[in-house]
Amino acid sequence: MEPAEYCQQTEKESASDLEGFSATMLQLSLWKLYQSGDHTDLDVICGDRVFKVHKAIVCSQSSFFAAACSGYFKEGVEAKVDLSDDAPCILERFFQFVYLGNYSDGEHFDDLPAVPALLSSIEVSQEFEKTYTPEDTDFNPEESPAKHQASEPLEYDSDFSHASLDKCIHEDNYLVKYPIGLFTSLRMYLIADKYGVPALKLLAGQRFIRTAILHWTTYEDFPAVIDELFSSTPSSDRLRHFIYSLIAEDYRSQASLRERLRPLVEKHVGFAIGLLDCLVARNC
Amino acid sequence: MAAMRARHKIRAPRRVREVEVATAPTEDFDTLWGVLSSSLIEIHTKNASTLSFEELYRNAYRMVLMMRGDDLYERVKTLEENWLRDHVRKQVTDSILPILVRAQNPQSITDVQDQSNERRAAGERFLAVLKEAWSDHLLCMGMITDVLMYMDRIISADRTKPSILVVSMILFRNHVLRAPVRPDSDITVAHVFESTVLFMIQLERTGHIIDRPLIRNCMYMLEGLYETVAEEESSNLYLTTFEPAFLSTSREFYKEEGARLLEVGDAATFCRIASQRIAEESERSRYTLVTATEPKIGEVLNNELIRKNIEEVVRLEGTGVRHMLDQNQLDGLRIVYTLNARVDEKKSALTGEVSKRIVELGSEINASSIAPPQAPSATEKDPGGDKKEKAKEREKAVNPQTASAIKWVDDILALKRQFDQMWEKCFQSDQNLHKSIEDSFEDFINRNTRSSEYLSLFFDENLKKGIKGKTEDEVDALLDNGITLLRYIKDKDLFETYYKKHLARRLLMKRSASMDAERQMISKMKMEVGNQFTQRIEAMFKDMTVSEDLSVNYKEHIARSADPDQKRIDLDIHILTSTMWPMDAMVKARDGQVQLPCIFPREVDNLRQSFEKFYLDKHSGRKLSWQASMGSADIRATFQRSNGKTQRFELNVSTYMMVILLLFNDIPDGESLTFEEIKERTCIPEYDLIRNLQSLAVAPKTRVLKKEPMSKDVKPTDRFFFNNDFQSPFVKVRIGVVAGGANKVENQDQRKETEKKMNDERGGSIEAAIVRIMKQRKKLGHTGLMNEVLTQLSSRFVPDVNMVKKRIESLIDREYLERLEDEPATYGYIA
Repeated sequence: MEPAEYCQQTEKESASDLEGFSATMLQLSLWKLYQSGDHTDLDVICGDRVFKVHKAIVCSQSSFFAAACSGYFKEGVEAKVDLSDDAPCILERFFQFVYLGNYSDGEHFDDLPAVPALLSSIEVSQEFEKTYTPEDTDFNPEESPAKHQASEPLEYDSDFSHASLDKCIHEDNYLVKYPIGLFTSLRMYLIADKYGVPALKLLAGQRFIRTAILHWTTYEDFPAVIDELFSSTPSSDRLRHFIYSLIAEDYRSQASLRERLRPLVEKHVGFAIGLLDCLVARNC
Repeated sequence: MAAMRARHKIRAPRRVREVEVATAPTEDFDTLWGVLSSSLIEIHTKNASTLSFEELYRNAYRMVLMMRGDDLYERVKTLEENWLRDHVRKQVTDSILPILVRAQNPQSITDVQDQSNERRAAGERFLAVLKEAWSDHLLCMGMITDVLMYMDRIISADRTKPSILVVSMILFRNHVLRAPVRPDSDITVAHVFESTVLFMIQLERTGHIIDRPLIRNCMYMLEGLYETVAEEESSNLYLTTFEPAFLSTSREFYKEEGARLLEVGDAATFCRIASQRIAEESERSRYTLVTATEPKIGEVLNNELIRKNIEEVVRLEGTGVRHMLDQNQLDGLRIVYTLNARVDEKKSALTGEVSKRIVELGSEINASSIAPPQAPSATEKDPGGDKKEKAKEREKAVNPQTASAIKWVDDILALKRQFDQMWEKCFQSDQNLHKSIEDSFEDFINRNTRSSEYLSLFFDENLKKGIKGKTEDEVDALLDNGITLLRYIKDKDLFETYYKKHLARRLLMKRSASMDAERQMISKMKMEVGNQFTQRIEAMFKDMTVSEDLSVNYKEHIARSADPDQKRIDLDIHILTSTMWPMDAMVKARDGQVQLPCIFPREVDNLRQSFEKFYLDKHSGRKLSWQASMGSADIRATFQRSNGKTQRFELNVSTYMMVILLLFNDIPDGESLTFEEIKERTCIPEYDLIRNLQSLAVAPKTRVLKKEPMSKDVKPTDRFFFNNDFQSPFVKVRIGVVAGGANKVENQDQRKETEKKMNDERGGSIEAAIVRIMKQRKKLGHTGLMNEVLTQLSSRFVPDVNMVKKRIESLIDREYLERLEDEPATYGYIA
């Protein structure tokens, strides 16, 4: 544990020395390496797709891959991991993040590593706590985007660096056309959780929260999002708490919303209890 | 490309209704567990390579997402418990042969000795099985923990349960290590394990070779197991169980070994074995057990083997430190030092013995210097032998007492060198030892009441002859050696007295070999003892220089003055300041009677008056007193041979001899003078007169006078003639004064006198110190005053407390001090 942490620490320090530049260079060259398929030593099979990856890169970031490749199991012996249970498009983004420090989801993407990818493991867990603390997630939907944006680190943020293009998408067309990113963020969040990549989990979680705050009232498939979230996370999951505080106010005041969410309440006991706890806590 | 990917199509979300349909419970918990549990057993039976990690991981992941994480945890725990109890424990207990269990019984220890090979083989088998079980457990639990990684993460998030790995370690501890060896037995695997390892260590201590890596691996096991769930470092089983047992058996072992070695009674053996044991135990800690044990077992060795025995070992008759010192066994001493230093910062056992030996050896040196060497005088008494040869020898040979004084110094220096060397080579230049060595030297050197005199004689001898033909560095080293001894001498004032006395003779008789060396000596003393000490000695040198100038001036004065035709006598004069020079030591006042000044012959007396006038003109108010006993003269003597020829010799004689010889100018040839007549006409003190006449009339090679009757001793009735037949191969003849001319050891009378003078002088110093102190303090308690006096004077001598008390009394009588009535035992200063 310690040496790994140390390495990440030094990596991080040297990266900040060159203001992210060298990190970017390295990430981009890794990305090229991934695309070229040279020197790969691990095949990740997903249905009919085969992702050719490098153990050194994948195992150092994902505890699942590290354990799978340890050598005692079939995967280690055959240098092959079958992940057919996962969606190829999510896996593709997963590896994109592993190599590039960022992934594309139709909302946010540039070629720069995302902030969480540049943090040390300790910082990631600290940031994780910060992102999901109740105060932060206790949103007033009208003002929260601005508030949330302000709390982002400003020195370096790939999500906001190509402002002009992204913003016009944000504010006008994208709102209507591509709210689909919410699912991507959620599934990236889940896969990061499953395979043990804290930085990706942080990044995807942040993106999920940002999009959800903007669109949950208008996005008609939002209940499906909640369903997937509550089917695929343990009860202690942080995003669940975010959802409670996000919808609690409207849930109390809007009968139509209660109607919409009834199947979910019936299906997920955890959801029902969590929501109830949240309402009680708000003294409604 | 990035833009392209950004617009990558994403599968349309499923509708809630679809989701509902999709959740058909195809994967129920028990099915998943069935697959997983059989796989875990496969892992334990080492078939993991056929298993898909992904599948197991996914199963566990699913079970957690089903909110059944706690169930999974409990089931895995049960599975592991069963595995350890049913398989591993059996394997381990099966490997324990009865002999190992029997050895638990303390009564069977005697059997064990006979069966040690059997027990050892059985033990190694058992340890190997246990080690194997442990490493299997570690490996499998590593893999199982990987499979259950997701579960562990979720479980550890609420921090109420230990991770599955920690649980498995507790299970191993309880179900394997602490399982009874037989179903109905009280003895556990851990007991057998502990006794087996201790048994092997015991084997190694008695010279057998054991499988160290095997034991080391078992120690890793103990270090990996803990008493508590929190797994604090201090609660690992090595520290809580094995180490205490190891230390206590070691304690027993070394207690016995110490006693056994003492019985053998050889210090060198003890030291060798003890240091071997130290090395062995340190190696054992590092390579067989756990490094952290090293200081602890070291402490056991220190306590049991060394601390309890070192004093006796050091004192062992015939082999102890005394023997090592005498035989110069540097290795032995080095080990003794190392051992002693381990248990005692002051190394008092060694220090005590070294000090004791130094004082013993020093006392021997003291004793042998006091008893005059008998051997040379015995040979002298041998009948026959070439008389001439003998005379020559006697002249050259230093007075035997002086020789023994010098030998005393040389012996001490040799002893000092020997111990300095040991100190450096064996005692790591230890400060404590240095101090005690110094103290011991000081102790025995000051036990010799003549140390000051001997040392001064040593310098005298060396400055006269010893340094001839030596390089500057050698002279420097020689003087430094002497200074080393000076450092030890407490009564520095006494040394000063002797040094001045000896120096005076060297200067006046021009016996010093090198003035540079003399000056060097002064500056060395100044550095060592201080300015005050050398002040008077320096004044003597100053007088010498001033006198030289004076002689030159006087010669010029005579050359200028009237009487050109006066028979010229060259005068080389030394004007000595009487307070700086040891006058009384040079002028031997006999029995306190006032000595009349020597009557000089007319020519010489004219010269004396002339010089006195010259000198007193320059320095009015001074008084010159002439010390004829210290002077010398060059005279030309004409011998009228019986064949009519004359022969001239140049004689170098003492002033007294000159005075005596000149008497014969005034009497006709062939006439004689009696001793009484000479005495009357010259007023030379009888003692000096006898010695001078002996030189002139008895010493075989310098018989300028004839004595009647011819005998060795000079009696008042003896008659003296001028010896016209005097013969010498040389033109210049030096006639020394017989005995007493050279610096030598004082006889008892002289010594008493010196001591008496010393005491007077000390009394003065003490009074001066008291007055100085009281003047400054005005009021001071008795003890305070005593202390201050002792401190102030300690650089010169160690004052006798009674003497100080007497001086205080005397000062009170003379009303310098008073006793304060209101404050008992306090003195006040009377202005």
